Amino acid sequence: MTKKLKVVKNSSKHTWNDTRVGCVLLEEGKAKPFKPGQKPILVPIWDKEMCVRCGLCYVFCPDAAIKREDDGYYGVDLDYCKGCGICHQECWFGAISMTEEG
Amino acid sequence: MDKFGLYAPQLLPFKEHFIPKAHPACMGCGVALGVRQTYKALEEKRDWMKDAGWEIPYKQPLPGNISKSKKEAKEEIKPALLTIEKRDQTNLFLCFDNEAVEDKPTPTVFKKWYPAVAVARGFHYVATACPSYPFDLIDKVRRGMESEGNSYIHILSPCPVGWDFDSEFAVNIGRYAVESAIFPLYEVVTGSYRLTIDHPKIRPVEQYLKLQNRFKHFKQKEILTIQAEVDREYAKLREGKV
Repeated sequence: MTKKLKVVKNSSKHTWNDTRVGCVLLEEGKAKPFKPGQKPILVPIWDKEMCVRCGLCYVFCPDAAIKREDDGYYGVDLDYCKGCGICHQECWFGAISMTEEG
Repeated sequence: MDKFGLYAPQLLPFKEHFIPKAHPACMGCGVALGVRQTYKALEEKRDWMKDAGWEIPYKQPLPGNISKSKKEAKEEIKPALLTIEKRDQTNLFLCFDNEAVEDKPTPTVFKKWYPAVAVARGFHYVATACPSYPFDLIDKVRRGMESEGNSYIHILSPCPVGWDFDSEFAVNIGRYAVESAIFPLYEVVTGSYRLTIDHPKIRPVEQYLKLQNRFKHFKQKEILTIQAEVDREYAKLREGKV
C-alpha cells in the first residue's frame, strides 16, 4: 500500500513574503479560527430528566467544548469535542451517555 | 430537581479565554484542562500575557523532539527556579507536570520534587495543584497572583497516552493520586506548610499504580517501598515539619 501525497496548493492570501523577520507574531491568539476537523467517534448526549444543571461537565471539559445554553442546561459544540468521555465519567447523576454520532 | 438554585461551577466566569480551542493536545489531556482552569482564574489579569499564539507564553514539546525537550526541560526549568529569584520581580511559575521527563519509572529513583526546590529558594508562595480539584487549583492560582514575591505552582496533569489509561479516567486518576497521598495538595506561604486537601482515609498507593499500564511491571516488593516513602513524606506534611 503506497499512499500518494496530495500537493497542497497554497492559498493566495498568505505567502512567505508576509511573514516577519524571525517569524515574530504581533497578534495574539492566531490559532483561534482553526477547528480540529476530525469528528469524534463518540459524542456525549444529555438526558434532561437526570440533569440537575450543576455544571461539572463544563468544568472538567479539557477542550472547552461544553457550553451553557440559554435554558440553563449544557450542550456540546461538536466542532471542538474530541470524544474523550470525561464528562460521562464525571457526571454524578449519570445524565451523560456516550453514543455514536448520527 | 430544582432544589438547589446555584452550584459552584456556575460561580466561575463563563467566558472562555482558552482561545485556541483547537489545541493540538490529545483527547482527555490533563495539561489542556489545567491551562483552561488557570485561564478561569486569571480572567482579568491577562494584559501582561499577550505574547504568543496561545495568548500566553507556552511551550509544547512534540513527540519528535522529546530528547531535545527533555534537555530543555532540565536546562530551562532549573535555572529559572534558581536565578529568577535573585531579581527583584514578582513572577508566577506554573509547571504542568505529566511525569514524562523521567526515562522509566523505577521504584528506587523518585522524581525531583520541584516545589521543595522552590521553597528552598525562598519563593513567597509555593503550591501543588491538580485539575481534578478545579476550585482548589483556581484558588491557588489567584493567591499566587496576589502574593508579593515570586510564586510557583506545580500542577499534576494526567496524560492518557503516556500513562497508558483510557482518556475518560483522566480526572479520576488525578483524584486517586491525591487520595493515595502520592501527590499531596498543599501550599507553602513564606515557608509554612499547610495541607489544603487532607483525606481522613488514605488509599493504598497500589490502587493508584494499578490503574496505569506504565507501572504494570512493578512487583509487590517495589510497591511496598513506594508506600513506605509516601507514608513517610505524608506524615511530615501532616505535622508541618518538612
